[in-house]
Amino acid sequence: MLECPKCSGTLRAIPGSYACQECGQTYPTHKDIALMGGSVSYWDIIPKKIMMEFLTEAEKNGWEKAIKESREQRIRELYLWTNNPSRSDITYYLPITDKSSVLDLGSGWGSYAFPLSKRVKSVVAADSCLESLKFINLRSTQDNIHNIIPVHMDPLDNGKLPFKSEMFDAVIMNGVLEWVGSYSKKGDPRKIQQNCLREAYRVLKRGGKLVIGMENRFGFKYFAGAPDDHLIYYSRDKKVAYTSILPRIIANIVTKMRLGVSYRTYTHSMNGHMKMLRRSGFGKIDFYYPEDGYRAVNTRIIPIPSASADRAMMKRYGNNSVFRFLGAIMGKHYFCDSFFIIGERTS
Amino acid sequence: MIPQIKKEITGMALFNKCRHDNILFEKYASRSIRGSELEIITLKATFTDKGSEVRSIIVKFPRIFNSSAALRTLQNEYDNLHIVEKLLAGTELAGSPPNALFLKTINAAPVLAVEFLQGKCLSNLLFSSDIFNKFMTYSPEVLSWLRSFQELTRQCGQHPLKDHLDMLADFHKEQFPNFAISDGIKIGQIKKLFHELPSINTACQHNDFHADNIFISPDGRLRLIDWEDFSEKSIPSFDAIHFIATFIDALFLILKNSGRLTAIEQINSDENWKKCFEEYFEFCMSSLNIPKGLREVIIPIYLLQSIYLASDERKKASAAISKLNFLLSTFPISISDLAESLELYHISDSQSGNKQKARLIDKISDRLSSADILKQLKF
Repeated sequence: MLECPKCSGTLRAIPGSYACQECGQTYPTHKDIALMGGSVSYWDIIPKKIMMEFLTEAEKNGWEKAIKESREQRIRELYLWTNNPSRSDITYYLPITDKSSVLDLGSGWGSYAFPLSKRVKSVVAADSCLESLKFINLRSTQDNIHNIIPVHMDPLDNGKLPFKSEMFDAVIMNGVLEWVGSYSKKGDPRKIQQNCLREAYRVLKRGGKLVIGMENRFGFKYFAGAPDDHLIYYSRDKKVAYTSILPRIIANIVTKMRLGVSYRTYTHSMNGHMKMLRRSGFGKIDFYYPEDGYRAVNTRIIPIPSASADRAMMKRYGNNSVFRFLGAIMGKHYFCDSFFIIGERTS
Repeated sequence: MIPQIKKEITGMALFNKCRHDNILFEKYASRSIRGSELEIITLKATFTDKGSEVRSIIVKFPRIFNSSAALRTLQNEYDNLHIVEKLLAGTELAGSPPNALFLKTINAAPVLAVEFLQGKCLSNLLFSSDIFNKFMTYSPEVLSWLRSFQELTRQCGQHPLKDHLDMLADFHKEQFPNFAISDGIKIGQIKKLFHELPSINTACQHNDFHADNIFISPDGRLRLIDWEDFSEKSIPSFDAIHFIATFIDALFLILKNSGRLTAIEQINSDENWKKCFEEYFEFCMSSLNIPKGLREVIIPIYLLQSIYLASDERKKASAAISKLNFLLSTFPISISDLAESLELYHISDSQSGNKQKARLIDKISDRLSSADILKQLKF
């Protein structure tokens, strides 16, 4: 399943590491986690120090107790997100079976990997944050789950997935694609994202599907002044609005002035996604509107375009004359706040 | 999972052999009172033609495919829909439950398909700005349906109610041995009272009869979904009490969630509301011919039966059980008592309702003739 990120050579498992049969590069393992990434990256909503303390606690007293009884409110709040399988309900839209292999790219705390592990043959939980993978590994051991394979890899900006071609029946990228391009700080984020999608396409089997969960660049809440969901991570105090709907060049000036950083967390419209996915090779693309957001638990998931989605959008924004005007031109669903997108590798 | 279901239903006469791409699946938001392992995923599958919706069905399957409890839930619903369909065939209530279309294994998961009910959900109609008048408008219609249902199902599965009550009391005592009411004289009192009644039998009840499960069809008829808890052996008038109790509960919950705790108190002290609930309750009791002796203890019995239903392996609704146990411990006798107990439940975890809480505890303590059970409750 794994291949050398440097030369695409086949990797052979040897005690304590993997070795490339072509270039001889070795990749160590850490407690069942294959360390395929060379760069050190930490990304989590929990600061690293607190995360490390939590992992020690989880190892000692069990992951569930450690979350529920944590002194840190931020950790306690994670329980619902970590332990509620409904967050991954979009995966019921995939044709996966108990014989399927799934790649969860940017697996975080495993909110997709754990529910999926009960329905498929194996789930590869891949992330550039080693601490999150340590949590997944710990929880798998404690819950007696044997089909989740944690893989540490470089951030997706680096352009090469450490997996062989046509390995997976499904690839999940939930709340991930918009961050691709923000790690490297240079190059066009759109091109970096495009390259990442090509890699996702490469590792999918024919007929396999890619799931993307992401905010809509033209979500109506942004027209109404909601702050950019991704810029909050750069500064919790300075809320920056309208950036997603502005031309990228202007958004870049705004974020440099307000936050001192370039604008690199690109989200896309329906058309934008269509173009990127088609250019990456995906043949059939379906869109869904998660009514409470793609990260929500127990959300209603409505196919778009559909009369049902239009009704749901009217219920939410129907009182706003700007929405009614824009909706009449482009279609109401065009302005839903976030998407699930399923792209199929048809050839 | 959904692509496999799509493949299965494509070509069925049901969808008039429609094209694969023309079936859209919408996943409904689920209520999360149950453990996630036992949860059932509900979808609306709609066949569209040139963008317009032609026909819809409801499809359900378990979140965890091999969950035996979830399978039993689907099997119960499928079986009960057939039982009720037969019971009501050729009567004025025929067509009240949706048609069961199939229960089959697809991709190693049991999948239940039922008819999609057109119309408006009663909870959407009730919970509007004009809630008082809406309740007055729709509740007689609800009672009329319940009365007809009772008449039409009178002959089936009758058992002595006192045996059922003994079972409920024993179940409660066994499940909650530390619960004050199980050891106290209250259950004994209920049983004694009940044993003195002339013989009454159990009744057929939907057992989950609340506004979310009731639909008003475009032709104005009442239609009901979620028949998984239907039983021929239930408490007479259980559905009627459940309808009122869940309405009051939902109303209080909405007010609590919007931070309007004093509004809950206002409702309970508002004579119009009180009269509305009490009169409707009395009207239910007389319409459903509930004998006087039973009326006096019907609320605690309703709570016992609710705890029994919520404790089922299929549900394990622990939050609901502890809430019902709390309500039972306050020993409500009338529907107004139950409304006060619900008020106390909703304000019990709030900082701002201390004065309100003290008033209610005083009031409820008067209701309890023996041990001061409320003192054992953690506030």
